[in-house]
Amino acid sequence: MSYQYPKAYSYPPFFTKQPNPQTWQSQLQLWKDFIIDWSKFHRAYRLNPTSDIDLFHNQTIDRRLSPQVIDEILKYMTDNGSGEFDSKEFVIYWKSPEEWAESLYKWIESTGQISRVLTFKELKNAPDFNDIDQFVLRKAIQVLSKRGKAQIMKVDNVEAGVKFF
Amino acid sequence: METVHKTAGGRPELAVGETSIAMHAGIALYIGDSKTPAFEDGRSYLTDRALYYINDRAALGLPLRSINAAEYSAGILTRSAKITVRIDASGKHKDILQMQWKWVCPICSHVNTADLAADNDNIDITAQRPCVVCGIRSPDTVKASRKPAEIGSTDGATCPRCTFINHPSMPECEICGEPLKSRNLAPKLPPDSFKAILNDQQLHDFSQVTSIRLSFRQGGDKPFYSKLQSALRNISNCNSSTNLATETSIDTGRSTPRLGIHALEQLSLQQRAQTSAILSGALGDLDSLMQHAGKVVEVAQNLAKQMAIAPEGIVPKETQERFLEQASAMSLAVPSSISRNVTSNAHGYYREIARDLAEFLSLPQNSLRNTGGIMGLADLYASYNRARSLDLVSPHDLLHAVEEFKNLDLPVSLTTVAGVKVIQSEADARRAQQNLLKILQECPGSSVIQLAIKSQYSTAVVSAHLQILEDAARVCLDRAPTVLQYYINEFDSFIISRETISA
Repeated sequence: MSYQYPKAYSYPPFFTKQPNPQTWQSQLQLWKDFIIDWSKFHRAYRLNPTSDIDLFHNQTIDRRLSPQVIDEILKYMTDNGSGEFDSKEFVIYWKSPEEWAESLYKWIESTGQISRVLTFKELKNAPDFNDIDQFVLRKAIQVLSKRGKAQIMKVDNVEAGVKFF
Repeated sequence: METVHKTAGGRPELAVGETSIAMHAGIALYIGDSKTPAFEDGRSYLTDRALYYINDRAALGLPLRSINAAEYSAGILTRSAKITVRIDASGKHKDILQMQWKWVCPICSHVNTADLAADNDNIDITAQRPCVVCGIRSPDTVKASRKPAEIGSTDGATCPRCTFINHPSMPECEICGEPLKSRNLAPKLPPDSFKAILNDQQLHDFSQVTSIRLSFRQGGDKPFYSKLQSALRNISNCNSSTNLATETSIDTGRSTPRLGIHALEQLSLQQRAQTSAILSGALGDLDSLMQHAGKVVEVAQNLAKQMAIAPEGIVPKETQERFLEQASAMSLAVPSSISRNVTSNAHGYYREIARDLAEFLSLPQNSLRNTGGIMGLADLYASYNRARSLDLVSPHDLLHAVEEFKNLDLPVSLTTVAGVKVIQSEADARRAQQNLLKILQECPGSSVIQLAIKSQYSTAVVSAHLQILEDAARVCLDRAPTVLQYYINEFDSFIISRETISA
């Protein structure tokens, strides 16, 4: 099944920053929804705003977003908790770190692995975690450790595994 | 005192040839000896024929002829200066104002109208103006009865003027238009039953008021009073001069003494009579010219209408266009009575210009509807001054005048669109915007020029409307590679459809 682009994607004003602030807010929301939708479908975690511009270019109607507007949209997503910059690349949270943490902890519980130490590699056995981005996985573990449900174990100052409580 | 009609700009409707002399705002009106004002915060207009009082509740007019005297009392401390106007409410003067006499010119058979003072039921037409068509004076002394003809014992009614025997059902003579008294006619309302209806539905009869007082809450009382006095003087001069003319023409008919003081007096009287005859003849020509100017404009408008609906091919297109242009230019030439010296201060002057502009824009040929509800100040300046012909308004005055629109509750307003000041008519602008939205619905992605062509508005007006619609989030724009294009705003509908799908 190929990806079904939203209706707005073939609406030319979608690719121009609207001067009306109210309209611009709606436009930002639509872009955010579209980016999350698109990356969820393709299971894409990272986006390079300088090279991955196909997403922002609709060739059928010949309209593209300008780099400044792309920056504004990604900044909006960061403020919204829908993504974050990891150096030059933008990490998309099509599932929020909290949601990832939630499902990870459920899996640990259901498989009776509490108070065990698991390596980062073993964590990828969790359902839906097989191709998870390292950055997102760290974020999810950070959420759990803040709640006191996980702790990163270090061996010779190198992170070796995670212990769950 | 009686109620009068107001124009679209909230000013009294003046009769043909009536010119305004002064105007002042912030006036309260007291009726009779009442201690409380009947109306607050109104404007007084003084013309060469009448004194008007207008506020948002009432519009009253008082013919200058019915004013017996005007007295001035200065303001003391908190008391504002007042002008007391004593009115002759006997109704005699109203008759004088309304009385019109028709006579048939013996040379060209044109039915002339003359309004003259007369006592009882008889009128002396010797001192009348010459015929408006051929300029020939009417035959010497004609005594006639002002009463409409009684129906005789014959089948028809004999016209008292031209002796034509009319059919009994005719209300007026078929030949000369003289009113005939018929038994079949319903009784007419007495002329002094004018009533003003106030907001509280209470009926006020102003016809029997014997005095009114104008209280000047915002000063300007003295200049207004002096203008009123001079206007009253002019009116009484007019009356006495006609009387004089009557007298002399009768006197010259008699045998005159040729010696002594009498002869000298007679000579000067004769000279005066001659001068007044020359003057009245000359002015009469001017008056008739003015009357005909109105008719000519009317004819031009009618012709223009017919030309506009004439089927193609009958008239060459070029001629037709040129003619329409000329006709509209002619009908534009509305004589405007405001000039700076009429009003007491600059502020009032701007307000009067604003009212005049509102009236000007309410004329069908200047309507903002044709231009899309919006007009730039430069266009307004040009077309308004073209209509005023010689008595031009400066750009500075016009700017101040349009800024007064909002204070006067007029159908036009001043707004700023994308930093440019424009005047707009709310209803017409909304209609134009609906029109533009409809065009965008049919062909999304239109540019300003395409919209201007389809809507027949100017590009400036289209841009202004698009700016307004953009601010209201009704349209959104698309910076296409070559040109800026406009679309109906559908972002919100996309969000709604997304939400319903996910729900």
